Amino acid sequence: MMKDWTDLIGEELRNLEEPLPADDWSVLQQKQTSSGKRKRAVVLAWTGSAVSVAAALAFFLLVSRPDASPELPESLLAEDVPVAESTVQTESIVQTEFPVTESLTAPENVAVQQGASVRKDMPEDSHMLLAEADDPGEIDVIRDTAVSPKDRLLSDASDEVAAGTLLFEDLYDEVPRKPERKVALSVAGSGGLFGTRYDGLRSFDCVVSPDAPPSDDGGLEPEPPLLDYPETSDSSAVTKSVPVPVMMRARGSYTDSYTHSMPVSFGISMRLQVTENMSVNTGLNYTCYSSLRDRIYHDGYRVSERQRVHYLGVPVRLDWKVLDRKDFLVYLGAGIQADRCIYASVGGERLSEKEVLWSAGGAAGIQWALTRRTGLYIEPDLTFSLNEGTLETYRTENPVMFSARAGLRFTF
Amino acid sequence: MDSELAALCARGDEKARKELYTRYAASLYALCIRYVGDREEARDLMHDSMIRIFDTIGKYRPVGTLRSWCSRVTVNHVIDHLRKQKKLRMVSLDECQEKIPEPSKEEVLKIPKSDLMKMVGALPETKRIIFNLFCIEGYSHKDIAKMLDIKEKTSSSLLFKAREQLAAKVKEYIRNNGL
Repeated sequence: MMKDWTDLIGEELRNLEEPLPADDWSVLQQKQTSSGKRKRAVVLAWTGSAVSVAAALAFFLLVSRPDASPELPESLLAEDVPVAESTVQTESIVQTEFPVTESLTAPENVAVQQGASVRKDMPEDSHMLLAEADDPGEIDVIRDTAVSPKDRLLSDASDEVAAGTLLFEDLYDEVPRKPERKVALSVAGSGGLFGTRYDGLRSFDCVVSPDAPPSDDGGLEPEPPLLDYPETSDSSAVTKSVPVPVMMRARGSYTDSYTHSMPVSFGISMRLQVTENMSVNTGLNYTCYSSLRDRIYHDGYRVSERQRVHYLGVPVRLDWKVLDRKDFLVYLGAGIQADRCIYASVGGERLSEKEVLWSAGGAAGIQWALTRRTGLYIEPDLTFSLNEGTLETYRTENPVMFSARAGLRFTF
Repeated sequence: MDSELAALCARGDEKARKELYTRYAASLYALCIRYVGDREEARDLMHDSMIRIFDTIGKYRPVGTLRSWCSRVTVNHVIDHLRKQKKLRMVSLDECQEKIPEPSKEEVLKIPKSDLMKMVGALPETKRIIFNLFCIEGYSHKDIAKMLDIKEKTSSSLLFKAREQLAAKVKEYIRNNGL
């Protein structure tokens, strides 16, 4: 191929060398040392941030467990009840959150574990709490494990119920909604790491089971098996004297309360650069909202079931680059997301959610370049739900959510 | 030889690093001058490139020479730097210049290398970079388009303009120096 004059210039200049000052090597060494220190500082800062985030997440996960109970006044705690040391989650939250006041009037149709009392000869590490029923020889088995302060309160409450001084409905009506826990969710930036409760009354008609004993005892029922809870109790400890649980009875209205768990979300996104500093983010985002639904009938019958609602969302967000350093990028973003329920169930029953859920939000992201094309990013974001679906989830309880995403970003 | 030196550098051997510096620093410095024009800025860029080379030399594979690998790292670093400094601005291609006759090879050979270097360094920023990438480093317009995030057509048009301006400078130099 014929070379033209520019090829000749290329050849002339390609291997050209320019003399450097004599001290250039030492200058380079100094720069290298300071660069190494800078890199170590960056790595330390990132490691510290990651550890902090992990610790915060672990903390919120820990305190958001359903057995994380609010503190009760000491005056409400029975002193003579042995406390078993166990970390097993209990399902007595609804029962234990009834404020027991002496001013409540006596009912006739009491339904809370009537006449139950804790056997004092139980070993401390027992995973079963046995409550003696009115009828000798019949033992209610509560799939509770440790006798928590709540249970002690329940025990006291039951005593009062047995004495005819406490009405279930009265107890229920006095259940505090605990708004402070809800606020803690948002402020803590946990994105639903705390459990929250929601209560609502609905009417309910159901079938009478042929096995069901007549409810002529003022509403005393054995505790039904609790569904979808960790099987931590030793099932062999349930003796044959335990009556068969009654699953369905004509119980009239019921109350649902929800304990929401932290939503889990992950997805894949694509970023399209529009201008040098602006880009559009979109993709697919999967979110799972898990809740424990406590259905309490007014005769004291209680069923706890796990509700899971799965959403697939499409976010569209506009990002604005605010800082672009060698290996470090900071950006702000704002956008909307549409979520569609792809599957929802409670217990074994499928639920339907037709509505598309909309939300708007803002995010601030920090990206650290691992390689030229791979970046590690952390994106704290604030999301506002624009509409509510028909299902009770963490989202309906917390229209404003703060969360933090972390992930890898590949640039092509 | 190259791979041994690279392996020693990757292990942090100071002597090996100094050897690498002695071999290639001057040519990398010249490369940086060609791209940025300013000698101080070029020296800083060469230092940063050397640090990057020391950090990433473990990735060197002996499919090409160590010199060309170091040059590639330096070119990438210089382009990144210019992009961040927002010096890579696409100029209008509508500038109409009168057709300048291109210099012959003989005329080019009469000019000292240092003066050729100055002429290239005096080209406008983007044209200078494209001229360097295409004519000296040997990148294709496709590669250049990818590196600079421009269209291939823009790259070739800017190269054409760079050639025209450089031709004018060469002609002027020859005329002024009576070559």
